[in-house]
Formats: sequence, C-alpha cells, structure tokens
Amino acid sequence: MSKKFAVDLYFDVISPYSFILFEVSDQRKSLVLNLSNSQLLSLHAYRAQWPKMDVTLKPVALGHVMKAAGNKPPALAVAAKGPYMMKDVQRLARYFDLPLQFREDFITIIQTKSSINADRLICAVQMTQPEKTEAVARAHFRRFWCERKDIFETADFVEVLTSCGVANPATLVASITSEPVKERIRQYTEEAIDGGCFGAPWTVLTLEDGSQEHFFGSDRLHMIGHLMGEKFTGPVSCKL
Amino acid sequence: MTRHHIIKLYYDIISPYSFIGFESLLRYRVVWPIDVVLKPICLGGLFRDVGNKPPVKSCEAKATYMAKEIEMIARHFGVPMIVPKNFSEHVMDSSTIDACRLIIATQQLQPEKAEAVSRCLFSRFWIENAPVQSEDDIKKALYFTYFTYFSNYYVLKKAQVENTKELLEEIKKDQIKEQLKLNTKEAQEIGAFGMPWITVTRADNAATENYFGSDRLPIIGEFIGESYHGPLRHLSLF
Repeated sequence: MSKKFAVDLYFDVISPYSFILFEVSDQRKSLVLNLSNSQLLSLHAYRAQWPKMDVTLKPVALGHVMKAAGNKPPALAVAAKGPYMMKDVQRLARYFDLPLQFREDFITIIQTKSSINADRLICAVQMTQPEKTEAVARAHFRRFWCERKDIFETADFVEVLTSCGVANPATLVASITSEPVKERIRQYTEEAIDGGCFGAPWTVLTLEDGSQEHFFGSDRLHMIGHLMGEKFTGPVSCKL
Repeated sequence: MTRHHIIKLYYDIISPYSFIGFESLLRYRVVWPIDVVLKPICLGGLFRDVGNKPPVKSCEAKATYMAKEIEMIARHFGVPMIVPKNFSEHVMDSSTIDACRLIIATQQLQPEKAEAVSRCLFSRFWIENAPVQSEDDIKKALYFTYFTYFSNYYVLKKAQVENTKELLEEIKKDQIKEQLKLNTKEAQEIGAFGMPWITVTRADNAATENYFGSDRLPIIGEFIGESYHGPLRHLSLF
C-alpha cells in the first residue's frame, strides 16, 4: 500500500490567497478529468496528480491567529500593501484561471465583519457530513470571491448548504454556535498557532519520518511537491 | 533580433529575498529576452517612508518561519545562504547603506562590474555571514576568495574591480548618496513596501507590471510570453 503524506491546510474563507491555494471550479468533482472548462490549481487539483497527498481542511479563526502572533492583515498594516495585494491576487487568479474579483468594500468588510461563522459552518459539515466538506468550503470561497456575495448571515449559509446538497441545512446552521463546533475551530486555530502560523493560508506537511514542514502562502506548492517527491508544473489544464 | 523586455530590480543587500531574487532573475537572461537594470535602494529608508518594518521585527512567528524558509528556498535556487543566528536582533544595526552606495558608484564608474560587486556584497553578508558595514568590510567583500561550504571545489569570487580606492572615495560624495535616495524614492512611488521589487516593461511597451518578492518568476514569464523553467540551478554561480 503506497505511503500517504498528510497535508493539513489551515485557511479562512476571508483570505484571498487561501482561495487561490484551495481550488475553484464550477463543475469539477472528478479531479482527474474535468470535461468542462477551467484550469484548476490548488492542492485539490494536485491531489489528482499527486496521489500520495492526503489533504485535511482545517478552517481557522484568522483574526485570532493574527492577534496571537502579533500580526495584522497586510491591507491594514501598511497602506501600500492593500492596492498591491489586490492587483497581485487578481493577477494570480487570472494565471490560474479563477474568476476571482475583489469586492469594492473588501477593506470595510475586514474591519467590520467576521468570517468566523462561515469557517465554523465548514467545521460543522466536516463533523457531520464529512464528504461534503470540500464542496461547502468551495461554495463559500466562490460565493465571496467570485459571486461577490455575503457569507455572514443565516440566509447566506442556508443558500450555500442547499447548493451543495447538504442534508438538514437549518440544523447545521444552528449548530454553528454549539460548543462542539466552536471547539473544533478553536482546536484547529490553536494547532496552527502552536505550529508557528501567523497568517493564512498555512500548510503543514507531515513527512514519512513524522517530521513536519510548514509553508505560508499560496506560492510554495513546488516545494511541498518536491518534499513528497512530486513535480509541480504550474496551472493544471484539463481542457477538452 | 528580438527586442528585449526591460526589467528593473530594486534591492538592498540586507534583504534576504533580494539575494534570492537577484540570483534567480539574472540567470533568466540566458533563457528569456530580458535586460535587467539594477536599482539598489536603502531599505531602512523605504520602510520608514511607507510605515513598514522588517518582517522579522514585526512578529516573532515570522522571524522563526523566515529563518527556515529562506534557507530552503535558497537551496532550491542553488544559493548556499545561511541566515545569521542573531539576524532578527541585529538587522536594525547592520547598515548596508555604504554597500548600496558602492554599487551605485560602480554603476557610474565601472558599470560592467556592478553585478559582480552586488554579488560579492550579498555573498559576504548572506553566505559568509560577515558584515558589510565598514570600508574594511567592503574591501574584503570585493577581494576575498572563499570556497563554498556545500561543494568540494573552490569558487573564485573576485569582483576584479579596478581602482577600489577610487570607488570607496566616490561613495562619500553627495551625488552618490543622492542617487541612492532617488532610487529609493522611485521604488516608493511605484508602490514598493519591501524588497525585492521587480518592474517589468514589455518590449512592445504595451504594459508595465510590478511584482513584490522572489516568487513571481512564473507570473512574470507569463506576462512576457515566456515559460518558467524552474530554478535553473545549473546556472548558479555558487
């Protein structure tokens, strides 16, 4: 039986670079052959190409991570970083064929709203219908980053869950504030902080000898691949 | 003959990712139709003017992460960098302003040596972990012969600069100090908040793009219609 490398992906849906590292596609479920359109890039697209990789999604409370590390969102820390980041993210999205578009009110949103409930919802799904975790995470990312809609209220969450064919959406949304769900995201967040995380996305790769390597950002896939003995060849194109 | 795309590389010797960006970008002249213009800046001045800090000072977790990451990325590009153990404590005391002024003086008096001089200064700080602050340090950087710790052959790295004395006198002149300030201001005006900062103007003059950091070569390639071929370790000069 071939060895698997455990890859933990710590992310927050409010983080644009997290979306880039994750994957977005409209129709793909089968990661090997997408008979529709997009190029896929991300850990998930590479899962098909890199069968040894076993990805676990771990949503975190990014605000809490930053506070613990004494860090700040780049757009708020240094004025020049905001405009650059928006251009860089959109440029990367184009390169990877992701229809990402920053909302005009993004800076206001990160100062006034929290994505914690969206992240908790992903945890709730993971705890009750784990096979839907990826779809729900993707739906959240796509809703905020491509459709430019909100991901903050109950109505938003019910729409997301329904679109993913998740059973009992109302019950799941209600469970967002339950202790077990809050505990799950708390656990992931503490785990990330203990591992040295200061921002998202944060990838932790466990090697065959049990040692761990940590990666910040969406531009280290070539190194992650290299450590698993895999080759990173840029955007994965599955056009017909 | 293909017209070249013009790439400006803004950097400071003190910046670890600048060394990685410098080496990785320059070797791409072999495979891409690009000209690279070197633009040393004063990173301390830039940080102050844009309200930023060295990442190792802004957050301890970043310092810990960078120390490991820099060596991994550098190895990936075939550059035997070593992050000094006390880097986050001493980064603010290790001025490379005269080192950057020296590069500018070289650009003016012996322009064909500016790249070699930059490499010697980077190597002294980031491979030998020796300072590049005093005149003495700089003289040593230009003439010191050393071998890499990771290979079993001598790598002779002499800048072979003529008239070092003249260059070292030159860096005291106001005009050189002013040029470093101008380069720094230029970087700030195009949106830079850290180093390295890369500006690419396409040969057809249709567009210019700015890139922060040493991990955007594939994206730069796409902008100029070229493929990324990896770290090109075989072209490493170390």
